[in-house]
Amino acid sequence: MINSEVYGEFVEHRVISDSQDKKSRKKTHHLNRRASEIIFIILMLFFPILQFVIFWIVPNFNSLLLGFQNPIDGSFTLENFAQFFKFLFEGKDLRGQYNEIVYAIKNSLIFALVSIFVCTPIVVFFSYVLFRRVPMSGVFRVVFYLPSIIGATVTTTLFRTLFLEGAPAYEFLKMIGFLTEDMEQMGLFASDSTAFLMVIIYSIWTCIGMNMILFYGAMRRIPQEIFESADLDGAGFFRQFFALVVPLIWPTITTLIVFSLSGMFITYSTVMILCPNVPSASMIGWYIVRYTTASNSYASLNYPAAVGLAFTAVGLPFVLVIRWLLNKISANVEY
Amino acid sequence: MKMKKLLIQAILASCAMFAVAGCNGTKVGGSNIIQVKSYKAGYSTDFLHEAAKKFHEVYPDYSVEILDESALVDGEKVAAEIGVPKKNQTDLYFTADIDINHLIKRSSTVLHKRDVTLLESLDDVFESKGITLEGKEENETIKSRFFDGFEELCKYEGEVPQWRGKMFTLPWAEAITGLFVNKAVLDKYSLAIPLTSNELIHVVEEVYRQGKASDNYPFSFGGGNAAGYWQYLYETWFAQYSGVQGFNNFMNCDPGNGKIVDEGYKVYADRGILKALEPMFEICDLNYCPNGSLSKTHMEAQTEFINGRSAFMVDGDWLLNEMKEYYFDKAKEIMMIGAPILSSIGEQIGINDNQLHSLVEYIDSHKTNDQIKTLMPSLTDEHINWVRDARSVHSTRGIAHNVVIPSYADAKDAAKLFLRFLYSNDGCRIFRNYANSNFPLSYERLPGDSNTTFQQSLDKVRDYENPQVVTTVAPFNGVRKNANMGATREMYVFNLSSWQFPKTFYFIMLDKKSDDPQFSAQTIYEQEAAYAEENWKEWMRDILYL
Repeated sequence: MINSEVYGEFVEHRVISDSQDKKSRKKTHHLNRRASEIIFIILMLFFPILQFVIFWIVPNFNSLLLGFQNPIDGSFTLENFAQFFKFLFEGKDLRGQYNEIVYAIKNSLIFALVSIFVCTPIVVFFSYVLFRRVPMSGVFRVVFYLPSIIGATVTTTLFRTLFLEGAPAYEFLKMIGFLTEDMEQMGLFASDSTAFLMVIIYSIWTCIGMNMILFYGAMRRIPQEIFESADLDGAGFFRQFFALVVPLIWPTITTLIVFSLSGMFITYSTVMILCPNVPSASMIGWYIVRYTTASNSYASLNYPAAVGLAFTAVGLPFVLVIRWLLNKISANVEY
Repeated sequence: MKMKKLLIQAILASCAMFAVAGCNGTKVGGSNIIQVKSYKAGYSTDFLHEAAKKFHEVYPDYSVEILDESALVDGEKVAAEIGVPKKNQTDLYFTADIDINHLIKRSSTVLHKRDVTLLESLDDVFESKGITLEGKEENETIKSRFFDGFEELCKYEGEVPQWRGKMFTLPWAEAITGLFVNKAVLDKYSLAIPLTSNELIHVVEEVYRQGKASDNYPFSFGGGNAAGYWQYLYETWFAQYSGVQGFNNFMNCDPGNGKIVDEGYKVYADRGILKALEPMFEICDLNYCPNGSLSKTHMEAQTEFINGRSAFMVDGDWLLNEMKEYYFDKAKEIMMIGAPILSSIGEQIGINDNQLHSLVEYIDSHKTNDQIKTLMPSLTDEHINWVRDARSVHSTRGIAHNVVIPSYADAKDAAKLFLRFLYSNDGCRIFRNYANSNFPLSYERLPGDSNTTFQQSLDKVRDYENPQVVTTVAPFNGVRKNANMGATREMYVFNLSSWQFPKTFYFIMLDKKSDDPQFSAQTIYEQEAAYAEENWKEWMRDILYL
């Protein structure tokens, strides 16, 4: 038999103990859950961070070191930069014709300007047209996106083939009298007057795909009511585009413009495939890649590393200032 | 619940097993299966498949398994694979442009031993006898059948003295390069195959003059990806004038006295450069090529050449095999011709171009010196031998087509056996019939063997008493390679090394458009020599010689 007093104490104790247990269990459960979450986050981030460290931090840190290293004994030197500036300001090769680095800078700037002022407006407008569901918009979306799915080698080959002697685009240009005798003899991808133009045309042709998806997505996020209201107010197709769509997707446009600006320093594959032998069609990215890949020994990477650093030193503040200016143009609208 | 756990455990365990199986490098089949990777370009790999099949018939216990065959099996990739023994299962590679010196240098670091190299020595294969389709040993050694010049090029002369003289690679193609002609085009304009450089220039001018109306041109050229093809003719002409030794001295930057560091730049003053440049300067002209040639690929250029749009193309013996899929019937009528003899050699030995033409004809018809002297009394043995030697020189890229065996390969003995089979007379015939070309060995042909006009012309080009080869891809001219001459800093400058800079003639063609009277073979030659002298110390410093 259990004494009732004792039993009462026991019950009271049990109640207190149960409540403490519950709290403790809850705390433990909470801690376990928190730990699981942390482990999950760590596991999920582990590979991206590892990849970032291996493929971004290490190579960039290495580039930083290489740029300041003497190729012969690895000691500290500014000689690689001196050589870069020598080429930049005095650099005429012995044949006295090509100062490739000047061409590379000039072309990269043109490339960026075309991306910003030609490609971006085209893509934004095309996206808007498709967004407003013009007839066959689904088909056009696929057609414009196709070059992004197909590998760059295939699209460049296709593009190149279109402009070879006897091909439709070439013959059309010939028919309308665009081709000079010199262009015909040299070919459009080797002539100084057309090689870089072909790079630009190719870039415009292929710029639509991926960017169109981004802009299309941004436009779809705009509440439908805004367009309905604009319709009631009598705003037409173009009015809605300029007064509503562009301001509302401005953050996306800003991002794309920043990408285009940074792209001017790294774009190389188009030049590499279309006109690798034409110095006057060179770009900064191709200039660096060519020097890097042509090196027979590790020591020779010092010069391209210095070139890369020099352009980063100029390019980074440039891109940041442009980004700041772009953000000033239109307030970030939330909807 | 238990069941569910068990199931998950089982799935995880099997996944882990597959993962481990995928990366532990377990080799299936042991050392009788030769696992091969092959570079696939102009010669393709049909010959390898056929050889593997025949080898298995001869040795049923052995088999050849081709793991990979693509243009990606190049020297760089193969060197990377061989450098990681734990992960490499391949026993035998047919690759291109591999850096033997680099692999030998890395051997002690990778293998932690000083007396072993990453690459197996192939001396024993070279010294052994080939194995026939019946599985019997041939009478002659493989070495005795190799064409002159290749043995020297194969021997290791790199930076590790201990291994000098060993052969860590053998060439798997002769890769003879030079001037090819579409005779139908010459016939169309009643022109003969040129035997001297002046005749070539004349024929080129005639094709240009007469062919304009019917869209015929003297040359096809793939400036987009094959700008360096012109070099093949240039290097042969240089060797014609300066001799193989003079050419090799140039390649090794040795002015003849071994003083590379102090006087290496003097090789740029070799008169052979000027004499080779003179006719090159005449024929390398944009007007002489179809429009757009500067950005054409070699395949596009070869297509128009085979189809009769142009009369000549500087190319390699892979041409027919590379084009056989679409144009076999037309391509097999293309001929390789011996590089016309430099007319400047004729001037040096005191005969005019007509006499030089006759002299070349006598040499081609295998007349002896005494017979020639009877016909041309003004000539001495020295004169005739100069032209004879010049006629028997041709350039090759064979040494850049490398067979290598990793020293740690499980089936390295079987791989060597396969090589002995491949380098036998029967193996050479397989290469002839399936790659439309030749190994760099002499071999006996049988009546049923492929013998197209194209192949006959290849045979004829080296049908001389003492055929000699020159190459710019010699693996051990370390001075030039290490100094990065022509490869890095001023990439578009002609005045580096016309040998290592494949775009030299591409830019000559461009520069000729400017009609600058100062721009000539003479000025190029002088500028190059001066530039080499001016920069020599810097180049030597780059490779730590100073």
